[in-house]
Amino acid sequence: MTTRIKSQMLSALSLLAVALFLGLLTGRPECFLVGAPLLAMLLWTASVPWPAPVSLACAVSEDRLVEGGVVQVTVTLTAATAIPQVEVFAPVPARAELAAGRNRAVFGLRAGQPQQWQFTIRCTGRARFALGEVHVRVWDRAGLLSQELHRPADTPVRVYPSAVPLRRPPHPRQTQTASGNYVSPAFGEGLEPGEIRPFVPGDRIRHVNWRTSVRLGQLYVTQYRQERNADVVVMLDTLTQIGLPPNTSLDLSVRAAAALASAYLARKDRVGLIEYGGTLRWVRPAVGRVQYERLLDTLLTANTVFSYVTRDLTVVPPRILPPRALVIAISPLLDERFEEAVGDLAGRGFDVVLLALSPVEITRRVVSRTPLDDLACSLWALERQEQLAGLCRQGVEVLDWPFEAALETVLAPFARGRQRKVAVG
Amino acid sequence: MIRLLAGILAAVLVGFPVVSAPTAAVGALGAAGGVFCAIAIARHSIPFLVAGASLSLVEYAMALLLRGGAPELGGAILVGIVVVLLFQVVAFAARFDGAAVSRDVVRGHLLFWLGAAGTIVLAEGLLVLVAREIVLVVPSPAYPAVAALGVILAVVAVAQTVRHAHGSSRVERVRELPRSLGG
Repeated sequence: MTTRIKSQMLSALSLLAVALFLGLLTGRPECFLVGAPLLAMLLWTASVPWPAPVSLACAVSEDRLVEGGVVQVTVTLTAATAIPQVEVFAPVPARAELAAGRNRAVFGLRAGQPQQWQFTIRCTGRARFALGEVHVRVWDRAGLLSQELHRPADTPVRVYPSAVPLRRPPHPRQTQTASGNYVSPAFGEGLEPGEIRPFVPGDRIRHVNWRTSVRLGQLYVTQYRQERNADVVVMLDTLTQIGLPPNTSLDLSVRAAAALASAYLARKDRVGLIEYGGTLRWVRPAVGRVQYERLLDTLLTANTVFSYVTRDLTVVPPRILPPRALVIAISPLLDERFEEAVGDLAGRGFDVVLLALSPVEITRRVVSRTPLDDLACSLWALERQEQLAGLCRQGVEVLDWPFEAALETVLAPFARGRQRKVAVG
Repeated sequence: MIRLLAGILAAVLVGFPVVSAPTAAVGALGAAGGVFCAIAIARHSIPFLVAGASLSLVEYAMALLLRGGAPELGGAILVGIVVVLLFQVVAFAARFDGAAVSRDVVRGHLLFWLGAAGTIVLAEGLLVLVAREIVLVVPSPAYPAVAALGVILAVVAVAQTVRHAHGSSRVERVRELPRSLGG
């Protein structure tokens, strides 16, 4: 423990000096007598021995949770001797707030008896931080000296973005070779019946369509369509963001990305991620629960990295951005470089769906409601409509996402349209 | 409650000299000291308290000069106790501003302040008695030596207090634990 002289001691000494100086100046003994209690306080502080060192432990109830979740922090203090004043402070990390209790407390310790102190914090936004940092101050009664103890943070906590369940994410136009949940145009082993054709040697007997065979007088077999999975790459715009935490455009995009990843992985699709910002970060497409954890871990730290350097998507290797993959780009379209990148992908033949988060509504929530701001927002909305129309002309399928609309609502009508296209193909 | 207690103590500190010597100069100094003390109590600020208490001590000294006459030691003991208690109360509030303070700590402090006030009264009464005996025994040319002894005692007290900090020479100027971390 580190012992420190507090600024209060300097203040007490100043008052003592003033009293003594006035005594000398006026020659009145009363002034010396006024200073005597301050002197006695200093003497008393010097005479009281320090208590035994404090032992400190800190426990955290959760180390993995989603946005809005709460964590209970329990600090346990024990001392061999009684301590009248112990001040404990545990900093609340950024993107978290106190939900119950206080993170700074003062209490006394009894000899040998552990004293517990609890508070609860609510994690308002996705973050990765460490809990368990505790500052302890043991004060003397007069408050002139203190002993300090610091326990560094040692419990990593991950707050994952909340992902709403999606029943109907956009269907990919093209499928891959591994088995999955989509009905492929190709014939093979599957459950979905396709065409009926005359029997040829080599066909399996169990594929014979007996009803047609009896009616037409020769053997016919039913062909089945293969059920295949798809490659889905979620492309996140990390060039810029707008709004206030925890509901910035990037936060909303990250939540949408997590929801889409969860939905596609549940359909046995391979899902990957590309963060398109000042630096390119990516996660290779894969399937399964582990991949979901990997994606969430990457989304956890997604942040805007501004750069004047334009990143070219051609540097992304094909194993990250596979041919025939469905690319779902999520962006508020505030930086035209992202718009160009999406157009480039569409031009290269990728199946691109742009989820265009409207920044106008996000801005409206932040700025004041004046006629001038309303006019500016209206003009911005018109400009944005023109921007989206331009992207549609480039072959990008655009989904306009108003800020307050549920993601399921935004995606559902679009998913039906693409589903029809898949069935035809 | 802390503010009420501190307010009463500040009122006594500022008002006592005015009652002793009700003049315009003392009143003006008292008003200035009162303003500083009020700000200190409202904001839990030790620097403002030091300024206010210093002005009040100057006001008290001026009242003593204007009034003249024989030393009034009872009033001096009262002012001394009030200064210490006011300092302690405001410092306590400043230290633990915004923290959840348990009732045991508050109760313990109230008892400590009461005990300190009683002890100071007894000690200063004893000191006055000793001083009266010294005046009878020690010849007047030796008074500076007695005063020097008092000064040495004061220096030793300060040195001992600093030494009690186990060699730590760092004076922390921050009043509280870092708030920027979320407190």
